[in-house]
Amino acid sequence: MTERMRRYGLGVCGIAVTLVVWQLLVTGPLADKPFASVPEIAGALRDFVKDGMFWSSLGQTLEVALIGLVLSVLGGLVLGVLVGLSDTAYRSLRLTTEFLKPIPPIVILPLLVLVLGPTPKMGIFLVFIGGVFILMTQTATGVADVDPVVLETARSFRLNRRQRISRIVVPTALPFVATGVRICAAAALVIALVSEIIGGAPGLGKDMVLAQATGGYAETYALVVVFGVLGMLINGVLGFVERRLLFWHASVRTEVPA
Amino acid sequence: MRTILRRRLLLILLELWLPAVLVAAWWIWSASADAPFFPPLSDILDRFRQMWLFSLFVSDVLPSLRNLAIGFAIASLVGIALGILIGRMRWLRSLTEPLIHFMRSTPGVAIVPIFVLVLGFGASMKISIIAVSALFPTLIATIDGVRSVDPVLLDSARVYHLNRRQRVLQLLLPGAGPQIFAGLQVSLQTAFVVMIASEMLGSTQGIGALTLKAQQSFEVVDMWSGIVLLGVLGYLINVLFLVVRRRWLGWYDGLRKVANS
Repeated sequence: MTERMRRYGLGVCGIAVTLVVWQLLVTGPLADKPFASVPEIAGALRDFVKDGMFWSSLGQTLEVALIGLVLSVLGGLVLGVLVGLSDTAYRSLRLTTEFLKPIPPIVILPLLVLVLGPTPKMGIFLVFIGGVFILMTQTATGVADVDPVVLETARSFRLNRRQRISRIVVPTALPFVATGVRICAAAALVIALVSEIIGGAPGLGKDMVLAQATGGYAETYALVVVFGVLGMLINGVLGFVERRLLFWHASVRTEVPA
Repeated sequence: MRTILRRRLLLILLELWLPAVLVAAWWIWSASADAPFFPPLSDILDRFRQMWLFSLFVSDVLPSLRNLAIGFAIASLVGIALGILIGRMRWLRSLTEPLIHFMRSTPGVAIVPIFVLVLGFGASMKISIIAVSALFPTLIATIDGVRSVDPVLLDSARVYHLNRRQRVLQLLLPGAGPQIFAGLQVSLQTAFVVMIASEMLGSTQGIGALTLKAQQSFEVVDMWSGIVLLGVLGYLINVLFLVVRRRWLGWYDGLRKVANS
């Protein structure tokens, strides 16, 4: 308990020191540079709470990230199960996905803006492209990871196809899928913001570019703080859900000392 | 013998048919489609040769790659060094943990406008934003990797009077190696994305800037040629990384293969 308090105490100290150093730099040697002081940024954050525009932009960004994520999960699951179950499908798709997977979605952003314009639809498509290959390979790996002996055993115990899938394939593949979803959810927010900052789609990212261009430095930095906190929240929530959903899996179980 | 050969040939064909069909379909469809945003693939490849091989290579491709290399190198070195330090010192870890997680969660592309504001549009802005964004995946992975090194090994090293240098080079770095490389791979991808973003946001030089400018002025073929180059680069950079990783971590992959079999 005291150890834990010490950890939290030091963490708070770390944040406090950072804020003090920032404040000293910004009011001292960097005063004529485009920075904003801590009280100014805090003020901007306080103003956001009452600002309807801020909340609608936030909703816009989260909506794009969420719809894109759901679509890429659905697409990735269908393709992944297909590829994981069939060796032919796996080999046929391997080169194509191996080539496309390491290419970040920002590369096709100019094309999407040209075809779909600076719209939420463009952002959703970009998030989808960014996630679908990761989820597909994760799902395929999970499905292919099923132990054939276990599957044969289930067959000899006369479990039917549905039972075999729900009792054996899904539990084996689920941790892989969960990892994929967590990676993609964090990426979804980033990609949604990219579609707004560079692609010009409406949302918090576009608000930030506008604030920066019009000299609203306090708002600019406040929005960066919002992005960081949003990212941390998403990571935290997903980690929590994963631990709850997969409490039985070895990667989550706390080890019982022998 | 004959059947093995035939089977291998069949497997190669099985791997190749889809990419071949996709490229052929794109080639044939785009040649006659007359879709304004999807010009003939032959035009794109022609333009690709004109632009990148090699008239704009020195002026735009090389600077982009140089910024990427320098930024990524800084991020890796600083990330690993800081990671070892923070991973080994508990008080430092508690002090910096919330800050590191906040910074990791802040997308690099989102702070590009701020770096532009402070440092302008030059190479120093691009290199610093690449270095800062790529730092955190490696840093966090190194901290985790160093922490997972077996404490008994560390104690034994101390008993055998290995000095600090030896402990870091022969124990901590190899022990944390697999995690460090996992972090480096994410860092490299981040660095590549931020390289493109730093050029797209207001710069006039670099592959990203040319591609976005072409899109904004409806030079569709030029834009496609930029997209193809960025796609190929994204792929090749990852291949290069995997080659380097295999050189350094071949022992680890071998070990795992043995353990799993």
